[in-house]
Amino acid sequence: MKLLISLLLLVPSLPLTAEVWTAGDCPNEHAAERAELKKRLLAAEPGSELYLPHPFPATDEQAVEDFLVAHRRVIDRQEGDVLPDDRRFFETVDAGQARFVVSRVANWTPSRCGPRYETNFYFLVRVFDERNGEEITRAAIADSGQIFQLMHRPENKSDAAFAISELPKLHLPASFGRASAAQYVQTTGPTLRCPALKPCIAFKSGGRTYLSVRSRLYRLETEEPISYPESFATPRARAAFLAVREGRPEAVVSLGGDRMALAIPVAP
Amino acid sequence: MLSNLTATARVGAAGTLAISLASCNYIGTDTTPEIGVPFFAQQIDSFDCGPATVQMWTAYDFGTANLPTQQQISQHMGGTSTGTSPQIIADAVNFYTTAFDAFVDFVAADPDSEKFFSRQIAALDQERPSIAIIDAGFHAVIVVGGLWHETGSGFRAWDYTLFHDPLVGPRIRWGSSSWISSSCPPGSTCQQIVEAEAVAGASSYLTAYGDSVIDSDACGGGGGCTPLNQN
Repeated sequence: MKLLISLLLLVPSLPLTAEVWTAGDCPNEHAAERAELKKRLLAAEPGSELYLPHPFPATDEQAVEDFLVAHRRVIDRQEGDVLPDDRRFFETVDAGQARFVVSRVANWTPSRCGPRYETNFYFLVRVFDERNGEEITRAAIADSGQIFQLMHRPENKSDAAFAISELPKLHLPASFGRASAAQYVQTTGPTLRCPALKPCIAFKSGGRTYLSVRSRLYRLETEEPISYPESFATPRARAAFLAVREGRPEAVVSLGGDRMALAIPVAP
Repeated sequence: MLSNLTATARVGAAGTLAISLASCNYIGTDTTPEIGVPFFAQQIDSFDCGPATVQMWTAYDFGTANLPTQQQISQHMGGTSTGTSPQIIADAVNFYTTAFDAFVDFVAADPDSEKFFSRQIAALDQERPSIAIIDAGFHAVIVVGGLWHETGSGFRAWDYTLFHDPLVGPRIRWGSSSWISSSCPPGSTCQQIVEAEAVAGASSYLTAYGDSVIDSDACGGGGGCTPLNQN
């Protein structure tokens, strides 16, 4: 397969860190199951439905290759016509008109450390049509190299509501101080949500951790984590936890696995 | 239309999941992998996904003319500053759409998740949407389709689920493993809003096809995976 891949580093106002960081290592609870699946992925050979050219890719280029192989495999085994959005995507790629922009998104959701994959981060692959500059596809590729999420901009929709939104940029007020270790994050909570395909930005400053969610900024109380299983695993626990928080300004967000934290709004 | 299709899944080490069927490998209609639900982005705040999903479901049933606004739906639902409960979303579905028996389908993540996903796909089989509560119970999206395929070793593998996310965009595809993990996080619960009438056939599908299921992302062609009914 002839691929023309150009990779650019995304440079927001605050440079992103090269290595993603999470709230801690995964516990051993599902380690054996994850190891079994990892072994299966690594052993998969061409022709296997699990085959990827670069399982657990080490580079952005490898992640893009895995994405294209896995996506094409799904399309090839589809029995009906290729969907218009998929057809446009592959026509653009095969014509050498696709530009791939890759960044990494740390996984701070409760599904991290699960029985399938550790999934500490995703490769966020953005695909632009060089002919008009439009982003036509965005995909989150798991650290295993498998497709986690995928969206195409609908081919026949010119409405702005169907455009794939820009990634956030972080502009800190001058009074805020020096920030570092900025990264995209996927996280979630009762009132805050940062999807993998539309991530937020986390960073550190003055020994504290911050989360920028669109136009809002939060300081995360990472030193006093809240247990997801205790506070949210059942509807009753969730209702009790949220009833106490009703009307209060702080939010609650996941740090990954079973840890959550209060998110305290920071005045602009 | 697609009474011969269903799927089941279990959240566990083997990640088995089954799909049965016939003339095509779409989960939706015979001609596309989606049932044609209009997309609307959520307009109010990051926790107003519930009104947006109800609005999309309403548009699917009645068309986009005279559609209630998300603000109107939100006021009807009476959401709080900490979000909206699945029961309130189910009540709103019964109020605004043609559904009259929508309910919160709630199971422990294990061992009953195969029944949960069987109901989700049974609804699509009847060309009815459902609202999935994902991201560990914090977000609502509307499920509009998906894709499966039959493997060389005779398994039926669920490739992806297709849904509209009011916060992100239309027609988002999630691979089977991550869909299961997000819908039913380890040690937590699985929740969705489905219509009782639309999922009536789910248990018979499960009985008939439970042995042939695999999770495409975790099992590939099926080698090494334990069939659902042997788990």
